[in-house]
Amino acid sequence: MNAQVVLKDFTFRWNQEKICVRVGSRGGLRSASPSLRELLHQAEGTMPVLLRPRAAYTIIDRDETNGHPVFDEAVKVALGVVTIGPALETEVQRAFREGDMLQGLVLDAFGSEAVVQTFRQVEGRIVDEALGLGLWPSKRFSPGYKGWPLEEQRFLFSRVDAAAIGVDLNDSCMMIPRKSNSFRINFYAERSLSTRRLAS
Amino acid sequence: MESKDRLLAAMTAAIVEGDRAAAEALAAKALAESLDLHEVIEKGYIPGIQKVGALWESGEYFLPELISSAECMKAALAVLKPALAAARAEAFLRGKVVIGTIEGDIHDIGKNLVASMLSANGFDVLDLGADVKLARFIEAAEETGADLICLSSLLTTTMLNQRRLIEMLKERGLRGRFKVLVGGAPVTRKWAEDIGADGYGENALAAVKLAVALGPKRRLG
Repeated sequence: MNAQVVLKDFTFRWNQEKICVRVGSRGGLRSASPSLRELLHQAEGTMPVLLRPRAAYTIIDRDETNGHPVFDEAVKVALGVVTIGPALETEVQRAFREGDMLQGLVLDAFGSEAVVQTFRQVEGRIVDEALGLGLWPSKRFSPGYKGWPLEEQRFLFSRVDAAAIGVDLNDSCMMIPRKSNSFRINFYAERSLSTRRLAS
Repeated sequence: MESKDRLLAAMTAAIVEGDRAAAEALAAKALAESLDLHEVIEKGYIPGIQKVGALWESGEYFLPELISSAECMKAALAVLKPALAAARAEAFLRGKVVIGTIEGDIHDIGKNLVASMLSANGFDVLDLGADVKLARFIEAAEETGADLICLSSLLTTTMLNQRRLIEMLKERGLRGRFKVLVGGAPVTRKWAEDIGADGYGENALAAVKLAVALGPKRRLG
């Protein structure tokens, strides 16, 4: 296995308006009830305790892949997994179990946003690495996206030691903890092959 | 003493406004005044949750309001339930439901919402959780005398197990005994028809409406 990078330092910036919409309140904070606002406030306060963001990724040559067509034309491929750990999920389940549905939903929305922010910070680093190698990075794709079946998780997990950040794969190729994400970013020699918009 | 009609109207309002404390207090008041509990539920609380559903469908209420009201409804029913059970009057229930996320799938937020809305609408719900073995659904349905089995799935890979469960019911000669409702992000009406399910709920409220339509026709109150 190629050298793997493990990241543990992440920062989060919360936009309650965005979280509110994630919860399903399409009107955003403006239309949120006082109790929802209070729950948003309380949940944000618990994030430092509930989030344990981690990321692991590795960069391999194309001939080290399993030859799936999604890797065609790539020179190298970054494969990785990000997670926010199990604590938030446990708290969400507790809330649902105890009938605090809205609290569960709010916490879950914070968790989803945290996964996105964790991934974006890793992605920025990988893009810089690709450009540093004189290559052009693609957008991020996950197993289950069109053209790359969910079962390809097994290949991805054979190349990334996700256990190092506490992520496991079940028989259905789903990640545990659930608030995790896996991805590939292809590195191309030709800029025209990359669909990512990059400044010249 | 407040008139009964005013009390029933206050129950409806408590649900619409998502006022849990009021919903519980009014339920306690109904018990203290020995009101007909069937009437309390049918004319006090159920209209509230129905109005919330209508407000959600019209876009005036969003998911958080829907959930708050469902929580209020469940809290009020919890206050009434011991008395209903003591009076052997649980026939107010709209039916028994066994619900879970199907084998291989660990997503449960959507399923939780549906379970909660069913419960808030007077169904007796047994939530089996996520990644539930197919045989467990059938065992639980038989044990509880369920009317409905609700199957959630969030993946195209795991939704295949919805078909498998219906086949298992047929193999065991139980297909006619339970109505099977399916739902989840990749599930469509066509899929439900293809696998021989009795219905498909696009969202929590649609699932409730379908369950009411397919459930036993017990009269409320």
